[in-house]
Amino acid sequence: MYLKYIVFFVFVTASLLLNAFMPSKIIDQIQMITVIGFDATEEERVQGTVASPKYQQEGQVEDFIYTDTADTVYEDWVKLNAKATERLLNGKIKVVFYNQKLAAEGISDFIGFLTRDPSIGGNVSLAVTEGSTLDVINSATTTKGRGIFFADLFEHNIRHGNLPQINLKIFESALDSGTQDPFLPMLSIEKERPALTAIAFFKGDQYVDKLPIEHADVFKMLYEKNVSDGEYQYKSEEYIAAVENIETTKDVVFETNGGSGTVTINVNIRGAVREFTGQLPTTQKEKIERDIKQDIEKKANRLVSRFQELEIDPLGIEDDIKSGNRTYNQKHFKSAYPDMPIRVNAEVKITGYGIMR
Amino acid sequence: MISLDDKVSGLMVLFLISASQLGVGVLGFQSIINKYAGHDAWISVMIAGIAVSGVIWLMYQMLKNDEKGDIVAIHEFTYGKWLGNFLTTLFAIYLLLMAIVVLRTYIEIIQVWIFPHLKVWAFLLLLIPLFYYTISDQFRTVVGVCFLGVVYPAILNLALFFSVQYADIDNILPILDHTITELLQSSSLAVLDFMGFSALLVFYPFIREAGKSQKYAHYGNLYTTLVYTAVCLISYLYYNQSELDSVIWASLGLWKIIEMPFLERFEYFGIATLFFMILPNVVLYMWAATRTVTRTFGFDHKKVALVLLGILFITSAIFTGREGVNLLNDSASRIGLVFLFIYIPVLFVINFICRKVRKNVS
Repeated sequence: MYLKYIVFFVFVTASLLLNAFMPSKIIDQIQMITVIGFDATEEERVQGTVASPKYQQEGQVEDFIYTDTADTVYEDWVKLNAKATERLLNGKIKVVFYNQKLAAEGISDFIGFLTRDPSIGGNVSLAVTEGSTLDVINSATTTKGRGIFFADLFEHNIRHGNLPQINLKIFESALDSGTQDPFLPMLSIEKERPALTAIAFFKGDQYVDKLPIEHADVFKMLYEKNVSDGEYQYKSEEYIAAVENIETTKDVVFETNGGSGTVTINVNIRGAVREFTGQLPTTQKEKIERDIKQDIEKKANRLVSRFQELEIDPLGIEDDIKSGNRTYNQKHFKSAYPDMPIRVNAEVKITGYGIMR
Repeated sequence: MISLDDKVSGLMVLFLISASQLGVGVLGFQSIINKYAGHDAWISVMIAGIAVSGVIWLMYQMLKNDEKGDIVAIHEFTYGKWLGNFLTTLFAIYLLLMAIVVLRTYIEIIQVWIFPHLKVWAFLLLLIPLFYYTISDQFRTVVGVCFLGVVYPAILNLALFFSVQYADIDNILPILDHTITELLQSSSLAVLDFMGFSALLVFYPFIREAGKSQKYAHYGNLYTTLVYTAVCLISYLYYNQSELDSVIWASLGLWKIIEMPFLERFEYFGIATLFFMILPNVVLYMWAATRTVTRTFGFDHKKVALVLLGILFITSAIFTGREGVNLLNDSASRIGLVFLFIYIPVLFVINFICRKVRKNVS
């Protein structure tokens, strides 16, 4: 009965031997791409730039940057591999940049390769750059590697700043949904350093407009269901107030009483005043709340009418109406959207003033 | 006669039923069942679970009233020797086909996600001895594998919580936006993911006090239904419906968002763990096929196992590429639907009439 064991042994050995010659990827013989930049070019479809970190001594990372032009992403990789000392691999991609010109032409062709590759996760940061992506990638000076540098830059701005939650997964969702237009952060070079300067709005996969990041606070309140740590600057001739630690909740109400219906976006805002140039803020709580409420509503209405003019819907109003309304009709909505009365209603509550009166 | 030592306790039916149902279906059923009911299809999953409970009840009614209590005896009793044996053979082929489908789909996932250059036939050489070891001897070995096949992959349910942070309730609202007909059409597709429990028709005599084990079968089905509903609901919250149209394995896609400091891609861990979900499927179907053939024709169990594993090996190696695997999946699900929801009720009725008539005659 030893025959059985011999057969088992032969099978297992044969299997291991035959599959042992699969192409392998040895850690010392590969370079992981962490940052990619795509630029529009004249002759070929795209110029691809990649950064790949090489670990020096303890705590030091140096990035190799390669760039070339091609018609497809993988054709570009072939050309870049011809320049790289080791094989370039996709598995560690953290950030992908598109320059403004390419973004205006449409970027879905250069996103497909990310979602199709099983080694790339959903949490990749995408961004538009104002100038060439190569310049932006080059301008970063860091010891932790450019991939982590840019990823961290986006992450803390999403957590505590004016940038709403955005990554490959959310962008792709909005792009596919047909009921929402995506947006991306926008980087430019300021004083030879990369800086998050704006939010870029898309119509489908094409870039159409931007909003400076310092005015994006209102956009974030209108876009996210809950902001957990936002900030807001109020400026008037009378006084200036900085509201920090903002928490918001949003809901969208759609009413159809004849006609195409009206949309009301209710935003509830709670935050603490941390900087104030007038006299004793504690004594004029109602006034500050009223001023800020009017300011936010004014800015929000201006932002919404701008979206309506461009016929884009980055706030996902259509998505909200679709999910809250059984009689929703996509064609009907799309034609009514540019002239639809959309009103923003803000409720502001100041919860504190720091440790001074 | 099966000795008492070969039998397993009634509780094990829970694991056998669950292990046979949870298979490759769970990886990508979300984008198949939403064909008719769209974002409401998660309700269809629950309807399908209830329907399957009904079929389990029918099976138990037949099995309880039969002396030997398996499909071979029922077929012989109902249709007589020749026609009965012919139908039993078809049933064995159906079980074998399901084993092939499960195994080939799993290997395809390994090829797509982990090793694109994997040689299928060489990889199968590694698995065949394991299958043979499990199915060639006592049924208890198969039960053991099924038990672990429910317990180990259960930890993967925890990974669903990572995706909840990207959940958007708008994706499934408004609830019940589709007609009852659409919901039922979708549940007819969802039922395909519960198919494997037909092995119950074969392993029934191996259960101690089998008649009393019915509640465990229903509990097993309940667990499966809960897992499917949870996976489906979370997928529908995570993806919007247009996004689902473009993904092949929506459940694996849920893992793409998971990031851990010590593990860049959770899929590698997940797919490896899934093997414990695939293994019970394959060995249970293969064992059931072997047992059916042995009972019908009286061949030696071990030799039949070898022949069937040979067929499994060749067929799995022949079908290649997405189209080949899809063809296998589609044909298996059509046959399964007809078998479970048309053939079993018909068999139940004929069997019932036969029993009454013969009782009256004697």
